Amino acid sequence: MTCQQCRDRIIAALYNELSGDEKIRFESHLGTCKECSRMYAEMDETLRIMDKRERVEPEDTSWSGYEDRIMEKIRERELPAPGKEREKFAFRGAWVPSWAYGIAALLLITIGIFLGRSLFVNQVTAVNPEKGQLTSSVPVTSDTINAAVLPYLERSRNVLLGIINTDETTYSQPVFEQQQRVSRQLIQQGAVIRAALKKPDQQQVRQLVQDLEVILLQLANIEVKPGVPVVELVRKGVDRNSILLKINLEEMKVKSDGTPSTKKKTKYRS
Amino acid sequence: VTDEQLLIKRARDGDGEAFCELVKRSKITVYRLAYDLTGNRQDAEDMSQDVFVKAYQSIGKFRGDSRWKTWLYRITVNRCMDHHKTHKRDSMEYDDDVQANTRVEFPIPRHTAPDRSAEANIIQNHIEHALNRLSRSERSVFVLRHYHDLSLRQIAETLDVAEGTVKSHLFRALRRLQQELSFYRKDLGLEERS
Repeated sequence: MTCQQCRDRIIAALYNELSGDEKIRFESHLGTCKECSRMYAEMDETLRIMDKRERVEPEDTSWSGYEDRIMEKIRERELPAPGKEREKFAFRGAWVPSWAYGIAALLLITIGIFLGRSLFVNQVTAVNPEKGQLTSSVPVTSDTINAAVLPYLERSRNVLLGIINTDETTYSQPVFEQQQRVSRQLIQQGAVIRAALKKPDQQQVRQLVQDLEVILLQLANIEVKPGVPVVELVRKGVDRNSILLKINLEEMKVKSDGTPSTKKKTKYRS
Repeated sequence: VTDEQLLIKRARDGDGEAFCELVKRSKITVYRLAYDLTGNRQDAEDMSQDVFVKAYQSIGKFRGDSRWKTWLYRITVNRCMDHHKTHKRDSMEYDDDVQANTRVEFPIPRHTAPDRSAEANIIQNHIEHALNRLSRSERSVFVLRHYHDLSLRQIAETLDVAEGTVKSHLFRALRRLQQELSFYRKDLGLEERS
């Protein structure tokens, strides 16, 4: 046995996992090689020291009602009972590869964007320029659309900042669900605004609204459950498209054109 | 069919009592692994609860190919890895080249117990300190082998890596522990003993 072969087996030897034959050859090598023998002895000594470690066990009271607390956590997170979940997703057999779910999710998002664009653009008739919201009494004009852009951008930015400035471990699910509801409203408004931005010089803001639409749609469709890095997902989408920077630039541009100003700028904690 | 397999089957069918019984039987094991991985009692308690919530959520996918305990070990290690990623402020992860020859200050004792002697507390702190110097992967492999008695093959299955990878992580872990504890051995005069 060479020194390298000996070292490859040293871990198995320390934990008595060598087969009878290998063990004999290993010990025989140790008998003739001082270097390997020393290494083995030192590692063995290290393990003996590690044996002295003592765990700090929890207080006895920590175990009292432990199972109940687990079930309470499960109820809080509204996880479905395992049996019910399997009935609901009975098609999820081992034959479905994991990437198929990713493709399905992508398809759903694409269909969502397509439907959103087709349906909402035709249904909505006007924009309330004060609130950036849709009404049915005011006819759509370029002016009303322009006036709605700033409130729309500000509201979108507030929603995104509200999420990405939250710590992943402390964000609140009810608050996030509220942010998802607002995102859905913004998706509808964005579709109207984008459809009305037809002039060549409005191409940039139209692209921005379109980028926002994709992020807001992803946000609205995130399924909140343990282990899903919600904040990280949103943050990546925002960072990838430099959305916040584009919003700020667009606001500056619109303001310099004489349209109503927004109230404040909000800092982005990177 | 063992009693445990029956409980798992019932839990998979949505029987909350069966799941509670499984929790009852495994909670100490999970807590101990979480403690070995984090070195912190509070984190270990929180994490062990999260492990069971995750187990409840995923038990429908548990096909029984591995043992229940091995499956829980896997969830626990993954949970600890996630926890580490989100709490890097507590990390003392080893950086091979930069810190290999750098002696860091001895940490303020956290693993003290009033019923232990001062010397025993020093040993405990030094051991925890040495463990903290391992990377997450090295520590996971080491504690599974040394404190939970999983064979190299079982660790490979649990972590879904090759057995050779387990051996190399364990080898590196031992070398680093040895390096850390040689200081301790000198200080406490254990070198003459070996």
